[in-house]
Amino acid sequence: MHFLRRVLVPLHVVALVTAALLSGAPTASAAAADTTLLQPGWAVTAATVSCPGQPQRSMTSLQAATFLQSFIADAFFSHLKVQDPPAGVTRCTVTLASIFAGEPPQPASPVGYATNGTKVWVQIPPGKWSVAKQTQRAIDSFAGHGTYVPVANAPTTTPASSPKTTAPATSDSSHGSSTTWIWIVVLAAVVVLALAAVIRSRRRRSATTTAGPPRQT
Amino acid sequence: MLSVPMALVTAGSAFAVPSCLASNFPAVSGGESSLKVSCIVPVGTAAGTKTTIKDYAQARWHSGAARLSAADGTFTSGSAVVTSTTGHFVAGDVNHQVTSDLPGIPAGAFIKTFTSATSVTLNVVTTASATTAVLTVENSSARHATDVTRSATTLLTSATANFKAGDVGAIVTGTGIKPGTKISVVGVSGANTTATISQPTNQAGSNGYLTINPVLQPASNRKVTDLHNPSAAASATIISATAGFTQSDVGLAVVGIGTGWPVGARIITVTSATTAVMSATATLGVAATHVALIGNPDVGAPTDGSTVAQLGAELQLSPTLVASSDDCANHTPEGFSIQGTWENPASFVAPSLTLGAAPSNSVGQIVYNNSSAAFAGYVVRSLTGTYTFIIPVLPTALAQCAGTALGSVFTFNPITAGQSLLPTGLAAPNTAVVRGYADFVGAVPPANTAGTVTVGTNAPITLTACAVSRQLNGPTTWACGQG
Repeated sequence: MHFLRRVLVPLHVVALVTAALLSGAPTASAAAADTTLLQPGWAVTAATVSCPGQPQRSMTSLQAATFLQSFIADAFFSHLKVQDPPAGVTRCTVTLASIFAGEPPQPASPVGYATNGTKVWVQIPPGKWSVAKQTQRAIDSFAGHGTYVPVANAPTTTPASSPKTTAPATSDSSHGSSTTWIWIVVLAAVVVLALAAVIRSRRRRSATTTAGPPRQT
Repeated sequence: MLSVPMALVTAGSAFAVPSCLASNFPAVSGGESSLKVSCIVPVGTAAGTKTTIKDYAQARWHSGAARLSAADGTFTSGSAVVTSTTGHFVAGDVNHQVTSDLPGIPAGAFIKTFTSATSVTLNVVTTASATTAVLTVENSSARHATDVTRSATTLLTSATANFKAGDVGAIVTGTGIKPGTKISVVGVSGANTTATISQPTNQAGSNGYLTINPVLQPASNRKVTDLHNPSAAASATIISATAGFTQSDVGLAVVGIGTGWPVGARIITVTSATTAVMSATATLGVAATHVALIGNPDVGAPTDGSTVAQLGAELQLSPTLVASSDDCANHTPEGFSIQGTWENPASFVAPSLTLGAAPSNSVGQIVYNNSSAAFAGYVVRSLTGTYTFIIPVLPTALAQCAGTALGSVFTFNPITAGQSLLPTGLAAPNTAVVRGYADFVGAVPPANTAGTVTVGTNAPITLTACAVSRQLNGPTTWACGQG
């Protein structure tokens, strides 16, 4: 029984976490836990993507960080060409929050994104709309396919793994943001099945041993 | 001036912890002074995001504030009387400079007589008429006179200086006045035309120039973020652990941001450094989280958007993240420099991605903006009158190559272009500066304790100490630090 208790508690946790991940509307604690470093002491949260005429979707923090990495350093360290997206090009908004070590929580802030397929415009308020230098990278990362660049000179904290993001851009937020969620669910299911198999196996063994005469204690 | 040796910013730096050097110039009492701080953050240091520069003890950033009337200021050419139904004049306004957005009030004019909450008399007559002027009333008694007669000893006489008891202890400068002189006694038989100073003049003379500084450093226009009421009940009393209220706050507007604040409130009483009473009640509760702007920029304040600082950096940027960079293995640091512009508290800009909030009691924001993205630092005044510059999030490590160092140089200008172009006498004396040094009484300067720099989570780095000097000491002592 003690063994079962030890196993069932983790199972319970796994189930709760899985349910939270599947909910599509992460709880505050879940959202706070999902952060990815941009630089030492600066992490970003999961993001919400809004494009006119399209269903809202979400990005994991890893996807959000990867998206920012596709242009943010260029925005700060080199001179992006200031230019508004042409009329008719859909302007999307990626809303995310930053978390800074030792600082109070910051409100979410919007980042503008627009593309015509050959050029990408980004806007980090209060900056103006500017042309991203790494077009394909920006397009891929906005779609959830970019590659996260691990932060240099940082302690090995978040992100723990999976520097490659694999999410499609079309996921509805009500069903999770990307295939990342599917992988998480699959992983969770595998863990549950494995644990269940272990439990069943132990039960059988236990049943076998208890079939004999009662033991003296 | 300092420079960051390139050899120190490549991989393999010998430094184990961050190091910084500082340079002040000129470090002269009562004058403006630039500050330059150069830092090396070596390989392997957990730099963090926050950079804090605690300035030298005697350094003064722009201080002073003002209150504005509505567009109802009225005066008639040839008369010294100024009226405004929204002037909210008080007796404490005497000797405070007044300016107007419409012509007619001469530069350097100040309130000589308080008549009522809506009427005062200036020390000079106006030169044009107006009925819709916006009046700006400074919150300090800093002023000047140009008709001063000096005895060979310690007596000053002026028909316009309007010496008052509150001037006792004030540092004075001007024609024939020795440095370190203060007002010891004002008035003879109640007259406000004479003052006795603390040491003999250089020589007797007449029609001399005299600047009278306020005895205490005036409060600044600022943003306070930890305000609250004494209890859950509505109250006109506001409390803040950081605001550092002084008598010079009386009359200044309190513009609350968020709910619970009255409209059109101003400070009418200062109880202590942490407590003030407004002209209207607020319902803030006891949570020290409420935000308000106190005062307006005075005439000598840096204008919004004026250049006051530069930030330079030498670091190796990853070509994966910055398209124009070369391979990290080349160990060829990239350098950049960006201008910092001043914003007064009502104009604070939200930095990109909310890169840190303004600390409480910020008197100015310096925005580093390259048109695509912006981050900011804040000039914060402490309860003891010292100043600290805080960049909550410095994004220099966004694209830094692994195993490389960072060199950064923070430079702060002593004055803006706009301040240098102000007509003589328009701003209150000694207020049209970004950063400078306090004047002092006597011959021995007060200790100018060295500042510190804190990079991220590392221990504070103490800058080189130095003394503030007087110009009489000669140019060899004007520099302070390693500059």
